[in-house]
Amino acid sequence: MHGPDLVALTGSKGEAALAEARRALQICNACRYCEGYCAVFPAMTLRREFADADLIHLANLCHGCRDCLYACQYAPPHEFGINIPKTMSEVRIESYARAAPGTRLLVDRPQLATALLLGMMVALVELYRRLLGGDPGGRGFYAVMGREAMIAFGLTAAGFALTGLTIGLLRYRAFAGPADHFGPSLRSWWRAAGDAATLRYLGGGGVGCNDTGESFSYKRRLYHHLMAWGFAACFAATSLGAIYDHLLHWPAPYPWISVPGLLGTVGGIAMIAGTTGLIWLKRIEGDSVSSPTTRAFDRSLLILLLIAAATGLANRLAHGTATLTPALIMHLASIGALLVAMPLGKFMHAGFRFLALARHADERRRLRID
Amino acid sequence: MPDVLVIGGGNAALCAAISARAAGASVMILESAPRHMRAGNSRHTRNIRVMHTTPQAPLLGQYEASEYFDDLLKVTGGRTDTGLATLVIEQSTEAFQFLRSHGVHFQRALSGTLNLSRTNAFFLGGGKALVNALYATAERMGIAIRYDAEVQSVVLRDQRIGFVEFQSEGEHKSLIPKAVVAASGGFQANLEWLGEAWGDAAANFAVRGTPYAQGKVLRNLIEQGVATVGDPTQCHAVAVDARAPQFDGGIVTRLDAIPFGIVVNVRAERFHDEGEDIWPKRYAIWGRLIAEQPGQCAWVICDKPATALFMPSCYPAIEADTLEGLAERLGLDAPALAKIVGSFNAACPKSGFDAAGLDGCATVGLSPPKSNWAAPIATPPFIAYPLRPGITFTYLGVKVDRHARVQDATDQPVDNLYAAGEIMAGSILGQGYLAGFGMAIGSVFGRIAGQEAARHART
Ligand SMILES: Cc1cc2nc3c(=O)[nH]c(=O)nc-3n(C[C@H](O)[C@H](O)[C@H](O)COP(=O)(O)OP(=O)(O)OC[C@H]3O[C@@H](n4cnc5c(N)ncnc54)[C@H](O)[C@@H]3O)c2cc1C
Ligand code: SF4
Ligand code: SF4
Repeated sequence: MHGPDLVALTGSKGEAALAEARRALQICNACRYCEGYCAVFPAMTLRREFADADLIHLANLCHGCRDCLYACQYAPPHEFGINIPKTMSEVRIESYARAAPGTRLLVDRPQLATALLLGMMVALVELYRRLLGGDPGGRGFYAVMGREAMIAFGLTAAGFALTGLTIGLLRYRAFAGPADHFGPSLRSWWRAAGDAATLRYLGGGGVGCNDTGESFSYKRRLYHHLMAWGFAACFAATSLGAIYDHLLHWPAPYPWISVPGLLGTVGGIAMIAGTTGLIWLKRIEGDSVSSPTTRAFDRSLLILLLIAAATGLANRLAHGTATLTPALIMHLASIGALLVAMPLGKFMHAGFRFLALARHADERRRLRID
Repeated sequence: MPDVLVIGGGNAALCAAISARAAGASVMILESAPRHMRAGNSRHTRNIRVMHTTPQAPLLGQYEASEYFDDLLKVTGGRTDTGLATLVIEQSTEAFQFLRSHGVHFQRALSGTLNLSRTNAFFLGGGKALVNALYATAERMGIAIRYDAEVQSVVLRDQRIGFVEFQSEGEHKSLIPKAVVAASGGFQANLEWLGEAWGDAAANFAVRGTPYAQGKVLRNLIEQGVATVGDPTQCHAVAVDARAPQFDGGIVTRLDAIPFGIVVNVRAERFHDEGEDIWPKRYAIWGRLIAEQPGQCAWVICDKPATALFMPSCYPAIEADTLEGLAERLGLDAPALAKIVGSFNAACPKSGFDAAGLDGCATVGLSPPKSNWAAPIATPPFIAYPLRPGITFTYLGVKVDRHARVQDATDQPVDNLYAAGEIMAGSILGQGYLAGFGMAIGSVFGRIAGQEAARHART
C-alpha cells in the first residue's frame, strides 16, 4: 500500500509516524517510568517488538493527556527526543486514514475537505428542498423544508455514516485488532464499557492532564465532556422529536419548555462551550505538543460540531423570521457533513479507543496483570 | 540579598530551599543548568527507599529501621557512618511525607517491573515529574530561582562563607547570603577529574546523568581545606550500552543481559563470572570490570531465546545467524569467538536453569566460571550488545555532621555552610549503592540543611 509521498505533500507523516513510534517505544520500554499514568505503558510492557498493528493499538489507547511528555527526561531538546503524545497522535491519524472507507482527503487536507463537504451538503439540502419542497401548511421549519425532504436528507446522510462506520470499525479490527479472531471476550467488552464510562484512564493516574503546559488541569476533560454530553443531549432531543412527530403525531417545533426543547437548548449551549474551549486549547498549544497538521485535523471536526450547534440554536431563535431559511439549510448541511465525515476522520477515535480498551482488557486478563 | 542561598537545583537543593522558606527565610536557588536540564541526576531517578513501621500507601507491609540498616550494611560492606545512616533511615518516613505534601505524586503499588513495592516508593512519572512538582511549589512559595547560574567559588574566611561568586548571563556576579546550602551534586561528569584516578580510561566512560555535575563547588571547598570523606578514586559505575550518549543517557542505556549470556572483551576472551551473586551487587560490579578491559569495551553475547529474560534494551540488538557472522559484525576474531562459545557451551550443565532466582546452575571446569544461569548459547540468531562503563555518581564528598554543617580540616563546623545530597553522600555511603538511598539522603539532609540554614540566618 504505497501511495504518493504524503509527508512531502501534506506534512502528514504516514509510515514515518509508525517508524517514529517504534523508535520511541523501544526507549520507553527500557524506561517505564510513566507506567502509572495510563493504559499505554502497561500495554507496551507486554511487548518487545512493535508491529504496525501494535503501534496503532497503543496509539488508540493514548488519549493525549501529555503527562508523559512533561515527565520525560528525554523530551526534546534531549537527543533522544521522546514525545509520546505527539507521536501517538500522528499514528492515530494514520489509523483513521487506513480504516476510512474511501478518501483520505479529510486526513491529508482537513480544512479543504471540510469546506468541500459542507458545500456539497448545502447543495444536497437545497436539492432535496427544491425536489420535495416545504410543507405549505407546515409550521416552523417544515414550511422551509418539508417532512419528506427532511427525512430523505437525513436518511441519505445517516446511511452514509452507518455504512462507513461499520466498514471503518471492521477495517480497524482487521489491521489492529487482536490476532485471535474471536477476541476480545464478552467480559472484556463489558470491562471496556466500564473503563470508558468511569473514564478510568483519563486524568493521568490521578494528577490531571498537562493541558496548557507544565501545570496540571482538568480543562480538556471538562470541555470534552461538555461537547460529548452536549452532543448526546442534542441527539436525544432530535430522536425524541422524531418519536413525538411520527409516532405521537405531535408535530415540531417544540416549545422551549419541553423535554426535546430543553435537551436541545442545553445540549447546544454545552456543545458550543465545549467545542470553543477545545478550539481555544488547540490554539494555545504549541508545536511542542502537536503538529500543525494534527491540530488542523482535530479542529476540522470541532468546527463542524460548533457550526451544527450554533445553527441549531439559531434555528430556534430565528423562528418566524426570514433568517430561518439560511439557518436551517446551514444546520442540516452541517449535520449532514458531520455524519458523512464520521467514518473518514477524527470521529473514529471514539470507536477505535473503545476497541483498544476492549483488547487491552483482554490482554490484562490473559496475563493476570491487575 | 537572600537569607539562604542554595547552590544546585536537584532534589536535595529543592528540599533545602522549600524547608528554609517554610522556616521563614528568604531563599534563592542558583542552578547551573538551563531550565530544560534543571535538577541534575534527580531528573533521572525513579524511587526513594522509605522506612515504615505500618503500610503507607503506596508502600506495602513494613520496612523497619533495622532491616533497612542491614540492607545498607550488605551493600557498603560496612563502609558507612552509622550515626548519619541511622538518621537518614529514621527520617526517611518524614521526608517521604514531605515530598508528598509538596506536590510529588507516587505511583500506586502495581504489578510493576521491579519487585520493590515494600521498600521503595515510586514517583508517578519518575524523577522529572518529581522535580517539576517541587519547582512549582518553590515558585509558589516565592523562592527566587536562577537558571544558567553556575557558582564559581564559595569564599571561606574566618570559619564562615563570606561571599559566593557565580556566572550568570555571561556576567560575573557575587552574593553575600547569611547562610549557604551546597547541594550541587557530585563530580562524575568531570572527565578530567575522573582521569586523575582512571587515567585515559575515563575518556571512554559514559556519564549516565547530567553533564552539569562538574564538581566545581566541591573542588573549590576542598581547596579551601574543608574535611572530605569517601574514596576519591571510587565511583559507582554499571555496564551500559556502548552506543549510549556520552552524557545524560539516564536509565534506559543500562543493560540487564549479562546474567543470561557471556561477556567477552576485544580479544574475544571472557574475564569474569557473569552469573555471580544477586542483582544489585552484580549490577554495580560490571562498570568497573569493563573499565579495566582494553579500550573500556566489551560485548555481552547470548542467543535469541535468552532475550526474553531481561528488560528490553533501548538500542536494537546486533544479530547474526551464525557466530562467525556475529564476530564479523562486532569486529572480533571469528575463530576465537567460536572457540570461547564452544567451550562455554560444553561446560554448561544439562539442566537446572531457572531465570527466576539464583539457580546454582554453574559451569563445570571453566575458568572463569559462570556460577549461575549457565545455559548454552545455541539457538540462532545470535545476539550481541556492546558495553562500556556508565558512571552514576562519585563517592568523594564533604564531611558533614548531624545538622548538615560542613566540617573543616579540624572537624569544626563552618559557621554558615551546610551541605545536602550527592555532595555529602560519601559521609554516609562509602561504597556500593542501595536502590532509592540517594534520594533518601538528599531529601533528609536537604530538609535538615534548609531548616538549619534558615535558623542560622534568622539569629
Ligand atoms: C540514571 C540514574 C538513576 C538514578 N535512580 C535513582 C533512584 O531511582 N533512586 C535514588 O534514590 N537515586 C537514584 N539515582 C541517584 C540520584 O540521582 C542521586 O542520589 C540524587 O539525585 C542526588 O541529588 P542531588 O540533588 O544531590 O544532586 P543532583 O540531582 O545531581 O543535583 C545537583 C544540581 O547541582 C547543579 N550544579 C552543579 N554544579 C553547580 C554549580 N557550580 N553551580 C550551581 N549549580 C550547580 C546541577 O545542575 C544539578 O542541578 C540515580 C542516578 C542516575 C544517574
Ligand atoms: S515517555 Fe519518557 S519517561 Fe515516560 S516511559 Fe517513555 S522514555 Fe520513560
Ligand atoms: S499522553 Fe497521556 S494518555 Fe498518551 S501515552 Fe502519554 S500519559 Fe498516556
